[in-house]
Amino acid sequence: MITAGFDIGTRFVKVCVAKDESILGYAIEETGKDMRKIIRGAYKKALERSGVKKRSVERRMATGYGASLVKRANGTVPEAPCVARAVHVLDPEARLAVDVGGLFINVIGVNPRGFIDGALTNDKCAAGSGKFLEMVSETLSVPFQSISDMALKSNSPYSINSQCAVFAESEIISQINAGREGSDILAGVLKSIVLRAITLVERSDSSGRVALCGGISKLPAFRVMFERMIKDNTYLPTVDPQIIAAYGAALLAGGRGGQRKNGASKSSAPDTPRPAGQR
Amino acid sequence: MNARINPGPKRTEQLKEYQIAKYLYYILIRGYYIVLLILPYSVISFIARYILHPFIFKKETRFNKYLRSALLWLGGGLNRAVDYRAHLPIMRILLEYLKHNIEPIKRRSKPLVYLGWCVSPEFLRAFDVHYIIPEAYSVTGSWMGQDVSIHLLETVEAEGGSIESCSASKFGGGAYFTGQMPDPDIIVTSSHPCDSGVSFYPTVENLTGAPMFVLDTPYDTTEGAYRYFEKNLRSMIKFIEKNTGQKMDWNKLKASCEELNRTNFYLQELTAMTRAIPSPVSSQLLTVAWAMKLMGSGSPHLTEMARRMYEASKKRLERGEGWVKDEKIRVIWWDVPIAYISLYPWLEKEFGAMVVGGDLMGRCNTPYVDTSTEESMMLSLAKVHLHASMVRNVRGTYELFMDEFEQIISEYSGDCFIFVGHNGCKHGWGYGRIKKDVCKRMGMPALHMSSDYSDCRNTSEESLKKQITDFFVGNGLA
Repeated sequence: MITAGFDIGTRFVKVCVAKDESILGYAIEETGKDMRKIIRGAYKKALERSGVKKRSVERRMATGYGASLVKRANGTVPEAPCVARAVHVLDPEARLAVDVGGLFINVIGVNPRGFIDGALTNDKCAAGSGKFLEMVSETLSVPFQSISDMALKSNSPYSINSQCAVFAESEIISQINAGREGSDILAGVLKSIVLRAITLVERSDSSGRVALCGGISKLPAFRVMFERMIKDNTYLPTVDPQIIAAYGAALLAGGRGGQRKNGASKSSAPDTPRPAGQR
Repeated sequence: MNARINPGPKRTEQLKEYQIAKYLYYILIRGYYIVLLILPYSVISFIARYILHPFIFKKETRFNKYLRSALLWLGGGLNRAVDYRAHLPIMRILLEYLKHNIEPIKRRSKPLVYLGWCVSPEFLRAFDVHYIIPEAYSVTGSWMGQDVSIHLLETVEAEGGSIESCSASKFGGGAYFTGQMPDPDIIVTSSHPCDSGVSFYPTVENLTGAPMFVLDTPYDTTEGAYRYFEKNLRSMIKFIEKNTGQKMDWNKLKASCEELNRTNFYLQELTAMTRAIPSPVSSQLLTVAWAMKLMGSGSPHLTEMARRMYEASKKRLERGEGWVKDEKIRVIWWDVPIAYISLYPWLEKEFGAMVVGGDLMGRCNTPYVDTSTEESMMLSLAKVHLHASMVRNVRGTYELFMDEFEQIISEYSGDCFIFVGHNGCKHGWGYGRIKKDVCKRMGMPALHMSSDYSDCRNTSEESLKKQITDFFVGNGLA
């Protein structure tokens, strides 16, 4: 079955076209004013890259902040089950997924069946998100692509005291004016994001192999810092980590209705009916 | 003392005195003959279902509010013709129960007893009394539409009722304050299922001045506990005898208990049949059976209802036929969603999901009443009380609950577990984590929703449907 998954995030629109469990193609577009147009464009691009006609797509599932904007979706589903499903399909041994995106950090448990096993999120504040990192890079006049390289050069990352993104920005401006190196500030910001993610990982019930997903996990500096601070085995999925949720949505769009566990056969009668008074 | 009040500014529909009972009694009497004539015949039933369908599945509006909930409860527009045959005795049970409410209004010839919903009405059948179960208004009140439910709940809250209390108790309070029930002569209740009931009945005692007896439910489930409860039941009989001036008729009690045994046989068979894959029994039937048992336990009409449900379901079982054509998901469900009864048919229609096991209300697991001697009958009735739904589930050590929960999961081949999450049920929330851990250990996806099973103000029907959809999709079940 050919399916499409849409992950409408706060910073990027991701569309993934999949056939059963294989990715046929995907597209990532930055969000903007006309979201519906951007979603249509991303879908068109993903279809072109997949070599699939629109009418061949049997089911579509949407996730993310703007999931309801996807027209003709067969349904919407929260991001966490999508990430869990995708991570499991890519690596059945993974038990935890850390998804650091534009606005949220999600830590998602994955059960051995390959579905969600609890999720934690930092949705209260933007200070642990990709958007915050973008704000800082603009303040420092550093291109976003260079953030990772600069942060890796830092010898003494600055510890940001403010918990709120707005106050943290003021604090960073004060540090720039005080002559602090840009690389130390960037490393400090990345460290604060990593610490928030680690806090959620520690609160999580699940443990085992950790998959890093979301746009921020594409930054080598983030991965290096994260791996240094966590005892569990960490890895980056074999596909673009930014499209994990979209891929998971495409997988869940395929559904699994009717499949039974324990090999229970249809029309099997119960044991001899119990007389009244017996359990 | 009369504490009835005018509940202040008109925020919801105002109710006239005894309006709920009168509405149900007079509508049902007329509806009874229509049901008797048309529904068991398949062609007419098909047409009736076709016409009623849009009224039921869309959300409640001012046009369908007097129909939707009651029809959903009674399977209107959903059942097959053969299953409607069970509805004639259902009407009789309801009429019989409502007479207890209506007759004292007209002429107070017999004493009126307020009976707590965890006390079996068999004892009262052995006396010449009327009885009203205040908590039953959570079911019958909802049949008049959501605004009536809200009115009852807001009335009792305006009078100082705790918003955290179990809404079933609050419905009882609302029915009292809005004048839906005549004042009682005596009150008989139990210390179970929860503190909401424990605080509600003394309030009514205080307001009405009626003497009250509270059955003290023991903590554990041992032979000693049964003996203790049996003594309690004997004290209750003495209390009723003293306050009504009547002697209990032991032969009538025996007849009621024998009727109860017959009813329980069919209901337990129905419960057992849900273990079959596909399940030939709708959760709707078991839910209706629970509500009817609440009001008419020990009645021959209840046995007849259960027998008809059993026969129709058994035929399906023998043919290997399920209640839904293509059963895809088997759900273990905790708590009956009284205010959201449309969830069951919605699950069946939308996902092919059958509620097959679960408890707190619907699952019948009642001991046999040994009527051979007076002593054995009393001891058995003590066991019946302590094994009743809710009393059995929310009492004693956690192993009691755990063992039964694990047994349900393994016996009913569930694909997932859904806990409706009744707001006022501290016990239910208290073992929430235990349930989650058991499900995790047994590899079963679990959904804990936050709602209130009879208070529609807590969560919207749409929100619950969205949560369930996300859960099914997210766990690869749909």
